Amino acid sequence: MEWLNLDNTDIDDEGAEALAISLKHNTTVKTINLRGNSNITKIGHRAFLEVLHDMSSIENTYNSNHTLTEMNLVDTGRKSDLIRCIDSVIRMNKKNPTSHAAGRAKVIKYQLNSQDRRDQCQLHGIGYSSIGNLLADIDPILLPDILALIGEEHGHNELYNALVPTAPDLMSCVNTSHGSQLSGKKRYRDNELTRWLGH
Amino acid sequence: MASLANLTKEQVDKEFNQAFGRHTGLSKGMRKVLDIIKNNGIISELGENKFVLYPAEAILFTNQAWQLLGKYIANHTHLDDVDLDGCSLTDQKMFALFSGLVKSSLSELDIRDNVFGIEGVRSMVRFLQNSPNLSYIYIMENNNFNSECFTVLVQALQNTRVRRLELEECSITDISVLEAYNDLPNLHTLNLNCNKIGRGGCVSLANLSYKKEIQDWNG
Repeated sequence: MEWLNLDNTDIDDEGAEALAISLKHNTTVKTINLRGNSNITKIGHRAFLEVLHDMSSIENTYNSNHTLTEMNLVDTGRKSDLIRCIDSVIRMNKKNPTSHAAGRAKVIKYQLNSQDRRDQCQLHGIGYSSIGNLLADIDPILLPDILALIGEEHGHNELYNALVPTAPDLMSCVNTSHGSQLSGKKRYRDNELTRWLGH
Repeated sequence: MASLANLTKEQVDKEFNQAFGRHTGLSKGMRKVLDIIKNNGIISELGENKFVLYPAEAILFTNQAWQLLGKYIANHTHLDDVDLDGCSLTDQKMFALFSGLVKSSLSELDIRDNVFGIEGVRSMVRFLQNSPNLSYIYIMENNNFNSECFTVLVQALQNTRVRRLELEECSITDISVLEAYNDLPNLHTLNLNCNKIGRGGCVSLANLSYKKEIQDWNG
């Protein structure tokens, strides 16, 4: 099923959450309409945002739902920041032709930019953690390419913000006395990066 | 009522005149279209092959007329689309229509804005299962179309080619049948707007999604 029209169907937050969770790995539903369900509040909307963009880690963002390309949650009129953000993620799904491209775009926009990341944390209702915290959980061998990507996509200020907390980990990668170990790590790094961020 | 194949031309014409003759008050244009359908002809010069019955004409249809119309549509080999929007189809009229209409070449059936209920839906079952091209079904704006009707409809549509099911503004509150019957492989659009399916409906749709996911994983 690709189109699901559920306008004015008496759905509440719990119903919306059940539906949202089921869409997490769904790759067929492209359009869902839920207008006129006034019992769906911020809680239900947030459940859909989490499905479209799981903020909990880079990997989970990459593996979010990239199939939904149209979602209408509210009637026309003034939209909340949450709804505008959902619209924006939906547009990202629509714009990127493959799941990989959409996942990559979401990681770059929402995880690797400090301002967007701060906004997203707020919309998801979770405490803000800096890019430095995020990168602390990543294998140091991946850091140089991620930092390069941040510089390339978001400029020098963002690169600096990310570089400061990660510098010690970054230095641990520079160890020329273990050439063979580095070569193995490089292969691992290349594979990981191809999977997450590759073109 | 005998099948068309078993009747002489005189008998067919007599039956037609009884149901659709000038005395019925039907317009000349409608009688002409009905005659074309009876003779398996092409309705539109544009080749649309669509039959539309307007409410003002439908009100003049007797049960015999509905039954005969059903029979003509069943015997038509290339009719694509039948539109009976707002034709005051009650259970009784549905029963008459679908006692003749047991199979078809139709790809689209529009019976929105009518008043039939469960008996009307039950009378459709044989038609639904013997219309291999049927892809689009519109049953909107019908307060008597409730959860029981939805259950019978979904069961009847198992393993059919139906792509689009428009059920806006009916009285469906329970769609759990979808969880049990996951054999609507071609269903592309499901419109349940303005039916109070609530939280339970979401859970049913979620379970359907999980079921599909498991099927995909299992190849």
